[in-house]
Amino acid sequence: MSTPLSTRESDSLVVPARKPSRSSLLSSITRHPLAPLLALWIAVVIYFWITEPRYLTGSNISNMLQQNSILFVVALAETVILLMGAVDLSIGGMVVLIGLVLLWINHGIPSVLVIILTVVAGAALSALVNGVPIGGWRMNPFVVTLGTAAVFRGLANVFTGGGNTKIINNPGFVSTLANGSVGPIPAAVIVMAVALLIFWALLRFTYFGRDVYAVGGNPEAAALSGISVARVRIAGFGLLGAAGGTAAVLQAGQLSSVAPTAAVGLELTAIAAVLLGGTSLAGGKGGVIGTSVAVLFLGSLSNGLDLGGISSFWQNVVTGFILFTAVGFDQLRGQLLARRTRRETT
Amino acid sequence: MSRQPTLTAQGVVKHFGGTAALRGVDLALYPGEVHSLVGENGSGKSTLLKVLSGVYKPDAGVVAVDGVTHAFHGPRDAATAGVCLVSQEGSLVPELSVGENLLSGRLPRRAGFVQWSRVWRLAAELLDRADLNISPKTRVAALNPSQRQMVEIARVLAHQPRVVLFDEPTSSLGTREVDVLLATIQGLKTEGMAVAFVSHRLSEMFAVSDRYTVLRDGDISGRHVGGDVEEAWIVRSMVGRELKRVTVASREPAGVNLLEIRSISDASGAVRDVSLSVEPGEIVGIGGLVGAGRTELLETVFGARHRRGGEILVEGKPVSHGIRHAMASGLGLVTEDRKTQALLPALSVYDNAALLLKRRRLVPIRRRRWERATIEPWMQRMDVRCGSYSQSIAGLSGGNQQKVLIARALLGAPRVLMLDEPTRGIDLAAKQRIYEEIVALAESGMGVLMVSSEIPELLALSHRVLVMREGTIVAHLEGSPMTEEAIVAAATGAINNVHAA
Repeated sequence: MSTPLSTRESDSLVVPARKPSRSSLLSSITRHPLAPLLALWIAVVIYFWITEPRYLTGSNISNMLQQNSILFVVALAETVILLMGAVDLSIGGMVVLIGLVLLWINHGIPSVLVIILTVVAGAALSALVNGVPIGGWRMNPFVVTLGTAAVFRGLANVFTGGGNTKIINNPGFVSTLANGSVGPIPAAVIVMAVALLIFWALLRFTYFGRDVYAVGGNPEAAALSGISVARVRIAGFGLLGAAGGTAAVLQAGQLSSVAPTAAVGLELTAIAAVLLGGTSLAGGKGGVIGTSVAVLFLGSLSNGLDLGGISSFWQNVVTGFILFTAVGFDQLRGQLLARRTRRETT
Repeated sequence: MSRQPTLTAQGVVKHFGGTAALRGVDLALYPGEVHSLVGENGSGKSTLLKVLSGVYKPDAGVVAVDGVTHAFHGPRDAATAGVCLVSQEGSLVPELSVGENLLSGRLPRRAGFVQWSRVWRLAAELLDRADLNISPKTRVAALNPSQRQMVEIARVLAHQPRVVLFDEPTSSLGTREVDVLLATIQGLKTEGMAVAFVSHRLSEMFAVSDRYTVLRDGDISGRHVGGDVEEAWIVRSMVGRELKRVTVASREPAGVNLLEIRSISDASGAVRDVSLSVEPGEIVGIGGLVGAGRTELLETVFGARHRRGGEILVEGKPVSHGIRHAMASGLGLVTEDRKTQALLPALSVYDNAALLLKRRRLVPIRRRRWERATIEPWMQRMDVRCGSYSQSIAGLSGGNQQKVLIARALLGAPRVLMLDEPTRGIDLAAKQRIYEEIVALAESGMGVLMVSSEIPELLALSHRVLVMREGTIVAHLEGSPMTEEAIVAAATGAINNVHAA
């Protein structure tokens, strides 16, 4: 435990960068927290590539990506929520309610403006009704968002006159964003990529990102370091709302309508993907890259099962089972790695 | 002694990790006697009581009750043998009733159902015997601290013990409540029970004790039989050790205050009317016992605790309430509890060190190269030893973690650095390094306010020592009267309000 008294020569702070040997490269890959999930994803892709001839075709891949674009965007924001030690259950209802906002403002103004206003409205709504109680008044995020989830969906039902689907009369660019494509690349994929880039950069390169990890890892330490925990939480829920607005735009475009019964259970699937991607439910640990891989993995799996004619009920069973085993396995692996590291350092 | 001791312990050894908490302690508790255990924080008193009551398993040594040796597997085992502990923390479930707490684990049952009428009747009997006028149906949460303490004792008495061990039972009680407790202890004594008593307040011990054992660094440093004990003897036995002084160079008062605190109190009453000042280049130590309000004082100054009244000035300018204002005014704090208040265990050494860095720019983008260049000199200065900055801070030793946390606070560019137990639980080499750095920081003109329970540390590093007791400063020691004996005496209240020039 105790190191010998200061021997100045050995005080090198940082071990000089060695050229990674092949074995250490391999070991750093296998030790990477995302390694098991990536391996599983590759295995799934290879399996369906062999069994389903349509699987690895361009049209099926872009189809799969489009189908998962809403979940993808939402799960990115849910990652931030879990990272800061909170949880959100309201995003499904929020997407529907914001969809109605889009419907109302989509009259006689350019659709680009409609999209921007929808995203801003989502951010404002979530920051206000989720963020302020959780951040400012220190209420429990589970309770708050369980409540707001019910309010959002309830209001959506009320405003549609009891759950009627509302057709969007003038889809314009909204539809293009969800269904169109730029060359061979679907527009929805570009939306996904941009969202990923924004969230990744936000977490990695901004003080806000650092504060998210600090607040989630140890709120007391964060506060004692002069970080405003309330402000970080409110901003985090604002981001969630912005993602909800984006998801509402994608959904409106895909369906050409707004249905209050849509996006049921979206929040739970998103949380499942976040956890599968290695973000800790306790906060402070994880990131959006893992979430992205997890969403794509889940999408590839259900797409393959679809092609194979497996019912969606069985797909739910499989998804649930994978989440359970993956998180359990991850815990076991973490313990094993920690034990090995300890043995190496002592 | 004609009587046989009820409980004997011989050669009790207990280690925690690499540190020895008890190094072969003998103790005998006699029936009808109160035996006080005295010692500084960390001398091993609480550990000894926990070994006797089966909470800890000793690494070596035997515990015998009425001449029969026992190896306790937990407190329940000890209770069956007649040894019960009234613990410092309190072990009642606040949401349950007094009756359920009194009979917890052995509620009378019939066919799997609790017989509530019998619960209330038995509980009422127990409360009666303890002279407590409380309904057994009251929720524990509704009781005041004194009543809780009494319920705790009543629960212990329900086991009909031969030996009762009290671990700082008075730390959460007011004066009148203490008197009630001491009377109860007298009662146990006359009933022929063997009692062991740990308290930090000498006056309480003098009131009830028949025998004294003084512990120091896990060893027994003094024994005394009879009530006629001298205060000076106790203090001498507690302190005793040869001190190696790494004294800070003496300095002339500058006559300017970097930090000035004018009669501040906190909202909870843990800090009461404290005034002090720190000059540039000065290290002011704050001594006192655990619970004297020292941590609370630093937290109040730092804005982490609600201040009630008073004024805080840094370089003559008043500091508004709140952590961010305190930091902006030039205050820095290294907290007492690394794990719960400071570390971000999932993050790297780098991110932990850089937590206070923020460059005022238009776009709030982190610039790693600038961050690294800013962190590096401080990390080198603190002599942080790690494989790389990107490794998790959780993998570092306690000493290196503490160095990173001090570097973190210094990266906030404070004018006054507040340190709360800066060397708790770290190895000697790191300790030495941190001492050197504290002295160097002061020499460069920083003001340092340091709380420590290690008196040698206070004496070695401080230009002045203030001693706190019950939320206020009771002694101001400087120059030759600044001794270990004086600090202990003021902290325990052996002598009231020591004032020395």
